[in-house]
Amino acid sequence: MEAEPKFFMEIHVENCGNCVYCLSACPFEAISQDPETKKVKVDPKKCVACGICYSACPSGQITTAHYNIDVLNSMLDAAVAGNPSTLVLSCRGSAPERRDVEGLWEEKELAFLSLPCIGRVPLQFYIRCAEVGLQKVHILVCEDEYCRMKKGSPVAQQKLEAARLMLEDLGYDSSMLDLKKGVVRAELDSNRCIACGNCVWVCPYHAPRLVTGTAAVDANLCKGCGICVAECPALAIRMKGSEHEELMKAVKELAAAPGKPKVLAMVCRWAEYLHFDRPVEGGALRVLPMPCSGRGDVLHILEAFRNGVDGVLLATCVDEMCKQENRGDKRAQAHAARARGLLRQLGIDGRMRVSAVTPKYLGQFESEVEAFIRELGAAPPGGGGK
Amino acid sequence: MLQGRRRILVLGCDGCTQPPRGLREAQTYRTLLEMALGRKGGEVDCVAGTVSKQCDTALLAQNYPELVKGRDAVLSLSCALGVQLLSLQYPEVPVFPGQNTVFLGYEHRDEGWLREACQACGDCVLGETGGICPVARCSKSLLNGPCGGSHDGKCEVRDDIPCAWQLIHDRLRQLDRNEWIDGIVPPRDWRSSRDGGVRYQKKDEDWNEPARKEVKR
Repeated sequence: MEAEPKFFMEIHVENCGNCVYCLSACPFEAISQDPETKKVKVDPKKCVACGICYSACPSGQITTAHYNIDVLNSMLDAAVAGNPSTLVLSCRGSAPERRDVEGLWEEKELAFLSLPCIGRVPLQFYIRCAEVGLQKVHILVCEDEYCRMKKGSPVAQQKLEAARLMLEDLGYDSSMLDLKKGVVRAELDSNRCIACGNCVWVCPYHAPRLVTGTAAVDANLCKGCGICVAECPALAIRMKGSEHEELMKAVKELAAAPGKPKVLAMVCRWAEYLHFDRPVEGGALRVLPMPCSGRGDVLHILEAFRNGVDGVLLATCVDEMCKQENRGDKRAQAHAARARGLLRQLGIDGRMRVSAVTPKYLGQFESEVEAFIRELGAAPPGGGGK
Repeated sequence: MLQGRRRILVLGCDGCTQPPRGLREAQTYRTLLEMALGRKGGEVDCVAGTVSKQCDTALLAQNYPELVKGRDAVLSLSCALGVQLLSLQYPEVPVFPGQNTVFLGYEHRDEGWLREACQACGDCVLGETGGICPVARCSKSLLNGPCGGSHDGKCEVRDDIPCAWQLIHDRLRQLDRNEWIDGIVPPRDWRSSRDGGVRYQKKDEDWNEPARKEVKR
């Protein structure tokens, strides 16, 4: 075994005042207090890297590698470089892409920032938004029961209230912070539905039902994982941000970008954080974000190879981190097995890899990508399409 | 099988959907075919489409003629019925089966298997046997089972085959209907099965009305 991978966050107990705000904020009961020393500690197994404890700590004694205030500030600087007056700060769960939110507000020139959970954003960030001269910040969180981090949305709302008070104290207009709640859900086209019942079977939330010759999705139950979209044999289910046609287009674009070898990584939004904020740099790696690795679609994998990609990496969450009732990674495995069988007929099944990764441990995704690229070097030729 | 063909229609079937082989499957195989044929060089032009039922002439007429126009072969993803009806109705283009049709069965999704459950013998006994078919599910198609090869509820032929007669006994006992197993069942009339060559059945008169012009899809 190599050296233990580095955990993404740390509680600096030596300066900690034992206020246990982090403990009460943690939605996953991952933080506990030692009854004798009164010191808090985090259980890496229970932690899901939501970052809520980071924003909860009043004394700055929790440090995190993901979206700490320095990272957020530099992201903000990059986002407002063109001097837009309005920022859209959205949770990746309900507004993963810029095009998902355009048209929601009157403002035309929008800067866009998307994070895995808004509950992780500390108060200072909102102050900073005012300082850099933004006139309006639209914050789009998930609806409470839709939140993948259980308490992410309520925590974000509390933070926002506090930030408003603070802004007023500092002489800014507190109404610049505006909050909306959103969801992304599967929509079913009953004209295309063939009533096969596949969605009923694969949905982790029992949202679809078959009624008189067509399926119907119960919007209150759907959590937008997109598994049914990837499995519907009639292509009758759509989901904003991961439509079949849009992803097909994205696969082609990513495959066309220069660089060698070309690795397309279909990555669950909750399995890896860092690479989502970086554009394609002409290197090997091209990231296609997925609402869940279970959205990873056999058709898109084939399409990638047809368009000249050398390898496809499907990055799922590690089992206990799955945000879809522990079914997302398993559906992804099933899709991968299906794709592998098809690729075997072309002799290129060695050019696909499934990796379970988590943002909890730093560098996991990178080392998987590196290992995969090495593997591709040794794989028999024949990838890269035509 | 498809040697030398370059303009192939991969045709899904939205019919019985067990397992579903509709538009997604057709597109999948279209892509695979194009990649495989493309390696050999030359022009490749495959398309994917689907019809609501390949075994229904009226439904085929809706969009099949349009889909098959200009194609030099059809790869059908339906069961053998669709493959044969396509050839019969539209003889201009050769049709090839995309899969083997194995049996009349049902699917267990949790455990991931398809199991044979009917042999289309033409003389149904399910009403007597508690909904479990001894013709298809007993390896010997016995009517007065079980035989001596039934052990711990398993068939002697293979231990992944549950003994159909064990299942029938259990079921009838559960229904409190032991009378059928208590008696001796006389030999059946097997003429409705595979006797006398290819089977044929004329539908009733009222089935033969002209097909409706508009069929809801």
